[in-house]
Amino acid sequence: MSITPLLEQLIEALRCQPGVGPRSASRIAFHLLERDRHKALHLAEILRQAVERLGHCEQCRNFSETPLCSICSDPRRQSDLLCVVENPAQLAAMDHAIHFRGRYHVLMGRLSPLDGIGPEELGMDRLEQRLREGEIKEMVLAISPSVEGEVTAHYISEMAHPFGVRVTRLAQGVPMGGELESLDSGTLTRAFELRREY
Amino acid sequence: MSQAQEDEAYVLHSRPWRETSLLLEVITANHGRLGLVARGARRGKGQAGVLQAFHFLQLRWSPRGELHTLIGAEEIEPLRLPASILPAALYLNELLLNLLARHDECGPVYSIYHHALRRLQAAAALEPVLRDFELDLLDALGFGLTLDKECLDGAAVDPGLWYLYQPRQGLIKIPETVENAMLGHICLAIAARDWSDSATRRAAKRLLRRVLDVHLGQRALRTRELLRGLARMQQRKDRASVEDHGSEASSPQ
Repeated sequence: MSITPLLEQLIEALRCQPGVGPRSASRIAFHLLERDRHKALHLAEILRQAVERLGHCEQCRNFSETPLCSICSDPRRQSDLLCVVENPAQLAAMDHAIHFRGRYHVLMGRLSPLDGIGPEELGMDRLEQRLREGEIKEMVLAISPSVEGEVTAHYISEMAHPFGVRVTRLAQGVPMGGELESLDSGTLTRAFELRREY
Repeated sequence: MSQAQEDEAYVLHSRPWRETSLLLEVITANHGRLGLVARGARRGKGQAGVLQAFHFLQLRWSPRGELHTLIGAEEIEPLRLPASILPAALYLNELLLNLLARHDECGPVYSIYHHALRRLQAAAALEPVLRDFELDLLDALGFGLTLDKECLDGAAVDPGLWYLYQPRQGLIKIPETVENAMLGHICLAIAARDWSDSATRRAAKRLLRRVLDVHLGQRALRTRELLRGLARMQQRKDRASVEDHGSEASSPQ
């Protein structure tokens, strides 16, 4: 089949998505054009609107259509309890699973200097500003336990030090339904170190 | 298909690759620096927990082109660095990633790195570990610094005179101090790796930064920025603490 210049452009444009290579991109392009032109137009329109209208919440950096997101502007939320998460998906998981009633700060990543992500890229100054405002009493770090996660948590706890905020971190250890013999040694070591009275 | 290879290694960097895989940069004992794809490592019971930076592993891979495919990874011995040491340890990794190319034979670099991590783990003072690592690494890459002799005539360095180190050349005696100049006794202390004096540590940090920058070219090290930020916070903490004993607050890198 011959590929017209426009089709080629479409395939190339679809490749901007993570995990979409040339083959997936052509499959998606053919599907949209052959079977679902209507949905393709809808997708184009929604994508345009999302890009134009979705910004970041001024307070917590989560995606928001308004200057303050719905969580930050909800007066029923505790304003002295802050949970720091890496991304919006983690925020949703925390909010859903444990009915967390405080507020959030979304870093949109982890400190990873080797990938070119430093404090500036994560808007650490914004978080520092929130701590400086003095309302926050406890900050819960819900950050993945990887090397970059450890660095991020360390950086934030150092940053919080002068403000006298209580900094806590999600516990690490054996997952529910996990079998000890199949855990990696790092997780098992951490679970042992953080064991508690029973 | 080519035969599987095996070696002990350290993960220098691990980043997500496609939907469920990881792209690893590793340094091996006998095969130099390698790029490996760990397929499915981020799926459910994948090995993402093991395939983290600084982990000391026995790796098996099947060689192909630029990126090899990881077949197996087992932790040889758990090496856990405290969070406060990680930024400095990442600095070592960033240096290696910038100064070694994939598939480069890197001779003694592996054992230099291994040794530096062991010292960091043993909670040795940070600056001497970093300076020794930088000096050893430059030596191993063939850019070693001669700091006990002048580069032009090989004359022994006089402890009381001023010298200037010119990257790629060596020490030159100068009549009076200029920017970056060092007294002979400082040059000799660095050559002898005697880090007991803070003036030597400061001079060595400045000197090595200048020399490394020549080899790094335009690439700015992002871990330096992170270490500087952390050092500033430490400085603030020290100032705030009651038993402030005027400690120097500079980043260790």
